[in-house]
Amino acid sequence: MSATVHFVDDDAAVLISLTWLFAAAELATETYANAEEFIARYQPAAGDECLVLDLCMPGVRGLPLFESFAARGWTMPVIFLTGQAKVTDAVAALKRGAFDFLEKPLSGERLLTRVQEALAEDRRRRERSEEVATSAARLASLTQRELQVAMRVAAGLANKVIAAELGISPRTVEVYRAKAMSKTGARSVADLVQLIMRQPQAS
Amino acid sequence: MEAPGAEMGNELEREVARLAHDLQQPLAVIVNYARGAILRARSGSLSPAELEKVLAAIEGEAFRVGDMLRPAGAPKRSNA
Repeated sequence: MSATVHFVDDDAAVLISLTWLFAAAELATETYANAEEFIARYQPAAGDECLVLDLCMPGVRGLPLFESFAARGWTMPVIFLTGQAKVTDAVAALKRGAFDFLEKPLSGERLLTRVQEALAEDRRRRERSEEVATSAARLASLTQRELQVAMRVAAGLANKVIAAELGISPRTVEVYRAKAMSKTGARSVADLVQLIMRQPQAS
Repeated sequence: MEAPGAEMGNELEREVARLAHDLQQPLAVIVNYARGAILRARSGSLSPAELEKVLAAIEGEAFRVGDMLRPAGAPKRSNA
């Protein structure tokens, strides 16, 4: 799957040079002259993505744009670039979950490295959310009884204990347990535990 | 109330910060072109025509820095 690096900078020469630099590393780029243009044009893509954002721009500045990401459902990692770093800005950006905060001019090599790490982070995040979605879909296929048994099996309870808790026979627990395992595709109790632990409410 | 001298000092400080910010832009461009050229040279994909183009772009950015450091009203070289 292809990766795309998004750059927002009010200096056209900076954007052209970045596109040329990243083409040498075989990375596709999308450039935007300001935050407003980014908001209007950006569409989340299927591949790995990250955003490199100039902190000081005319109009909407870098930090407020980044702060609006969650509300827009945008999740790609964001690297801030700045000509004159203020410690307070750096702390604010990193506290809000920015991937990094880099000072200009920085070597092209360092920028490339950090961007590649941000793209890898985006891939990991995507894989995690896919796992959560798959686990949720598998668990949703269980009946209420099967889910009750599965949760207790995952919590480490013995069949006899589960049977007593739910007021059913150990043999019936066995049946529900086997059904829960086959429906979710869990090959072991450890698999089942993982499946359940991946759900946000479980952690 | 600040003394007039302090106000002038603040003004100067802001001006220096603005100049520092403006200078970072062409320097960043030069760095990007240089690294892009190094990567292409390493992989053997830098043609003489492309090298000439990128060197001209670097030259242009160096003139842009020079213009920023020239007194107001002096002729600009980056437009030459």
